[in-house]
Amino acid sequence: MKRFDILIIGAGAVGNAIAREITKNNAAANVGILEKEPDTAFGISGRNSGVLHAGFNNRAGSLMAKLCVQGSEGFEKEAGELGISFKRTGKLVIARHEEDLPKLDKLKEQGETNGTRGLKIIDRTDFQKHNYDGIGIAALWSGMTGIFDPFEYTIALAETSAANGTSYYFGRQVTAIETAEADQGMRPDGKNGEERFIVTARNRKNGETEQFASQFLINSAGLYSDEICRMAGIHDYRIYPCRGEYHILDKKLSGSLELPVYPVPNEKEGGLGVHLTPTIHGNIMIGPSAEYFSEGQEREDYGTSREVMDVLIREGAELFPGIQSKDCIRSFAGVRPKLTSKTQGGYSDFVIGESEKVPGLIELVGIESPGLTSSIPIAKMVYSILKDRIPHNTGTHKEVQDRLKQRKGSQKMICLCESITEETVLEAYDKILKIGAIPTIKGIKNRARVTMGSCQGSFCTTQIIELLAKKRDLDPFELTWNGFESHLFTGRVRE
Amino acid sequence: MCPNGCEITEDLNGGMCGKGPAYVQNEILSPRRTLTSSVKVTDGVIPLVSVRTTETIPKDKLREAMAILAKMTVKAPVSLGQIIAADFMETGVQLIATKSVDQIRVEIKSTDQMSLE
Amino acid sequence: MRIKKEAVVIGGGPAGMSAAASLAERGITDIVLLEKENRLGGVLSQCIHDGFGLVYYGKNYTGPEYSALYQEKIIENNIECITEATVLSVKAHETTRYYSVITVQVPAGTIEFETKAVILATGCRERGRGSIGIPGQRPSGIYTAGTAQAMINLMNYMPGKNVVIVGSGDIGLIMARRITLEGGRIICVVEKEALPGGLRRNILQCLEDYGIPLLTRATVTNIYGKERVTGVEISRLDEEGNIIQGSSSSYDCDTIILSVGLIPEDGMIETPHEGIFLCGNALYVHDLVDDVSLEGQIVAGQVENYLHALASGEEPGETRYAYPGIHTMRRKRGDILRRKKRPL
Repeated sequence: MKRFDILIIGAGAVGNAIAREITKNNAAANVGILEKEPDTAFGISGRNSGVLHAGFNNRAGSLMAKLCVQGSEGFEKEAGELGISFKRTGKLVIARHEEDLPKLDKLKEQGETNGTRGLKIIDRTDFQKHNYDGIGIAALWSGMTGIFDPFEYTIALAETSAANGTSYYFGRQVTAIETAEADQGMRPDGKNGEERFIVTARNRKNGETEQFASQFLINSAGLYSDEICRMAGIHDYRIYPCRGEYHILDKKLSGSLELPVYPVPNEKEGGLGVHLTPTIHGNIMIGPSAEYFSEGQEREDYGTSREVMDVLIREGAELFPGIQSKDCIRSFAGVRPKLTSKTQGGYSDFVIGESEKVPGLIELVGIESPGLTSSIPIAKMVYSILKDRIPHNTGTHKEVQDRLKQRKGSQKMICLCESITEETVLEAYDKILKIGAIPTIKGIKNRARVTMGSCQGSFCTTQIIELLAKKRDLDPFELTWNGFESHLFTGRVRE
Repeated sequence: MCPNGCEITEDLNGGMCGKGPAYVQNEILSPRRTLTSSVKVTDGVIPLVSVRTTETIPKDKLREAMAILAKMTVKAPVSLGQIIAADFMETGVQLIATKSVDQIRVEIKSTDQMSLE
Repeated sequence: MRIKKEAVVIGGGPAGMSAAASLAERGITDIVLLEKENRLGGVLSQCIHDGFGLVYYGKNYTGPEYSALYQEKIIENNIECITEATVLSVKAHETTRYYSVITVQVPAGTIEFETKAVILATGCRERGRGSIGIPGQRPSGIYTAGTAQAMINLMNYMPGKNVVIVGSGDIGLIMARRITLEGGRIICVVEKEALPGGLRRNILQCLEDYGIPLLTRATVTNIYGKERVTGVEISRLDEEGNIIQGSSSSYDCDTIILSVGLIPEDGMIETPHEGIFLCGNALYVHDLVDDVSLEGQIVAGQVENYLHALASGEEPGETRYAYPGIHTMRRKRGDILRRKKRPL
């Protein structure tokens, strides 16, 4: 059985950020992470708009508001340390009708209360100055909003944590949690005694059962955080999954949208209040929609539907004329872990803290937007709860120093649409193995951007397989699309 | 309707290339098809070589032909037009390679890469 | 440092090879052909079926054999070819709008060419699922027909066993036959129009020969399967192409092959300037490679005119595109004909 000081369940942006924060400051802490997917960023961390939010959309006084603003303010520094791309593009919230105007004022006020800087109400004549050419009578300009690549970010957090000594276990699905009582000689404070938590997990690759013991348990399981709590004996939470579908448009269209543009939601018109967001790579995304699942519906239903796709295009074209469905190269979906149901509606804050009922368990429940923006501040908050109770060592930490180092290798183009070289693909594959993740085309895609272009992999998928077979001895029947049973082939043509 | 798209009438007229009447007779009595497929290559830079029958073979022999092809192997180098099977399935027709395949060159590892174990 | 050329041909498939060979035959020899794969031939290398050259050569070649004819011409004419070369951009020259600067990525790094004429023979790419918007899950096992063809014919992998094909264009029909012959099963081919899109010979030899059902006025409206495809929902369409309520049924399958359209690949041109000539599928999608070869010859003639005009100081005329392919099958040379869709 593997033993840890801290065991994290869920290797998304939050889980990885926590591992990084702990191992950055405590070289002696023994940290492990369990993740049910083959790789990091396959869940909600890899299914979002990639926006760094400024904090004006969150209720004043909430944890969401506080952590979002901290995340926004600190991002240049973190992005620099992690070596990822980031652009503070600003954002416009567009008022289309007279009755939207007071809402702009309210948002500005809320933002200022939360500490968001760079908010200004502008009118139509200033749209051009802010790089926007579309409809609207006025807008709220938010100078602190930005865009980045959520895959790059989440992966960089994982790589740093792994380099600092965190042990990653991919393809492990937690099935049970046993908690010992404090009076049984087990203490959640790192001093004397056995570990407090014993976590049982199923290895999805070979079907075996494994056990992990830990002093502290961090529940950053995203969409399944309520289930993990239940396994630990806490029945206080229920997640209401709410799916958001997105459309990605071909790059040939872009260059014409420089910054995220969101309309003020207008209840009279109904609709989704669809957002247009440029990605840092130059595509435009339309979405997300908002669709609550019914009771008992499978949580990870990432399917997209005809009806929503049509609505997204229609509403997108209203804000940005010229958008057509044939310009869409891909659709995808994410599912939000909401703490309020459709009928309840309204607002629910992040739940972050040590459980009163089960000391030693850190709960992170309902981490929907602005979760990504807040991920590092969340990690710092969690670290501050634990820091005096875990093994301490003030030695220097190891960051990933060679992320930006130039490497010599084949510069031959493998992905024509996105201009990606063979060397980049091999690096991506090596990085997957380095954190102990299971290689998938999706994992390579998230790191190298292959298959994300106009051809969506119809040219390069076969090349990638050949390259890995040739240069890394990878059996093509081992490589799956997104893990486990998502095989690419059913056999050979000639044996 | 002939493979080139000409509509051939009952009295066998309407074709453009002159092969119409013969085609129609065959189609009705004993249809024939060209077989194009691939054969496994050993020691080649690519794993398969594309092959064809030089003329049409009876349509009802296609399945059997595929089963035989699946068991064939040819060693690189293969040249374009090389005869893979001379009297393929006793139809009197040849099976030939439709592309060339170079032999793979084995890379000699330098001594410092070889283990002493 | 820029390498100067009279003309650069981008693409070593049938269009590029034909254009390059024709240029050489016209005495324009200071040229280079750039090809992204490690071999010439383009898509012909994976089109191992026959039916090529019926019109132009009066013979029935397979794709690789047809390609070999032109590779011969390239060798005979001693044309310089650089393989594993990916063109990153074609820009107007800084000072003369009649010249282009081409940036090319090769395994060792980047090189630049400065040239008078550019022939873009880059073929086309396949339309994908996102573009036609099939809703549902995103499992593995969904391939465009060309990708599936490359897997089977070039790489020795079977993409699937129980297949639904979307689209009745030629490439989808060819794959229906190929997969069937290799032991797979085509559940059906669905076509959204009332009439099938492919050539008559392919309907006969690829579907009818094997008893493969073709559903017209139908399309896939949902895809099932979280990791690998497990099935599809197929719905019927009315005359306007709208889904008929209640007409849907589900079919089990493990693979979906999309043959839903080809898009000419002309994206590397940054600015429309002079001296850019398109031919082959990069210009528009052709039915017959024979027409592509003819177009290569025509475009070489246009390039010749362009170079003469430049050399003698005249204004070259507006000759940015090759003429559309002339379909000579129907006896009337010189007419531009489109293949009509015929009812079954």
